[in-house]
Amino acid sequence: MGKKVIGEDMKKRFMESVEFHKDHVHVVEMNEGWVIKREGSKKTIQTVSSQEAAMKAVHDLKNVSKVYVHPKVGDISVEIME
Amino acid sequence: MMDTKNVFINCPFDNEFYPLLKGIFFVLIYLDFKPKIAETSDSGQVRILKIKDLMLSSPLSIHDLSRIDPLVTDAAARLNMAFEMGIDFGLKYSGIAELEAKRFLILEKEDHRYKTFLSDISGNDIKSHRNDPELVIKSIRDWIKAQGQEAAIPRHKLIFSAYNEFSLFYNQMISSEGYDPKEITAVTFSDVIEIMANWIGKFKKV
Repeated sequence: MGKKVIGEDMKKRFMESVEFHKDHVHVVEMNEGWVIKREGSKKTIQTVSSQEAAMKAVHDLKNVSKVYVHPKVGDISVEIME
Repeated sequence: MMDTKNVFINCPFDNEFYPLLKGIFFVLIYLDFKPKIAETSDSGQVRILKIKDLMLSSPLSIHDLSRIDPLVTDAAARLNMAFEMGIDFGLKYSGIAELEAKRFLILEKEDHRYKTFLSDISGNDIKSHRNDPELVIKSIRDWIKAQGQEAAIPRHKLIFSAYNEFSLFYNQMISSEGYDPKEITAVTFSDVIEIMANWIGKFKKV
């Protein structure tokens, strides 16, 4: 089956949907540890040795509404913060 | 005509490799290069001629040999990647002055595995990625830096974390449109590259 060329309308929706929410935090598993950063930021807040330590550190941050966890294996999970 | 920013990509086209391929696209675009890859379903043109044209327009090439093994037991080896790499080496050593400066990064699954089936490539830039998108991004980032073309290059840590952010956005968007983000044949590479370039452009401006 051939690939689908997506339509211009869909492409426009993609282009217009790009937003960066500073109150969204990403926890990314890397070979050197779990990196914590705010969405769209070029700077890392912290790098810790485990996912548990990362989540603990995230809960100490202010102005966080969502946390996305990106493990190397498995799907991305999301936690909604109160 | 060569464009100094073109990078030809020779790699397997299967779903297992797709996260690595998207990592290759991402790091190249992030570093302001242009990924050049033959679509799997080009029509009206002999595929190998299209590939040759892409090689001729690209001073840099990335050849991934990590999937030389058959996809299933008892199947034949997958030789397209080695075949295409051989053509690229042929162009480099053809005696045409413009092509002598071509540079190759060869990606493998494990350290030194290539020595068991393609030892003639020893002495080239060969990195193993262990099927890890982070190592793919790091290998390419470090290789680009070694070419000395870019004055300042961000660390792979920034690029890989941005890649993860992009993947979340892309997977959510593509799923909402009824496509499977893990299916390599779902959307054309040129569309993926265009969407990625748009996202990276906006990320850099934040």
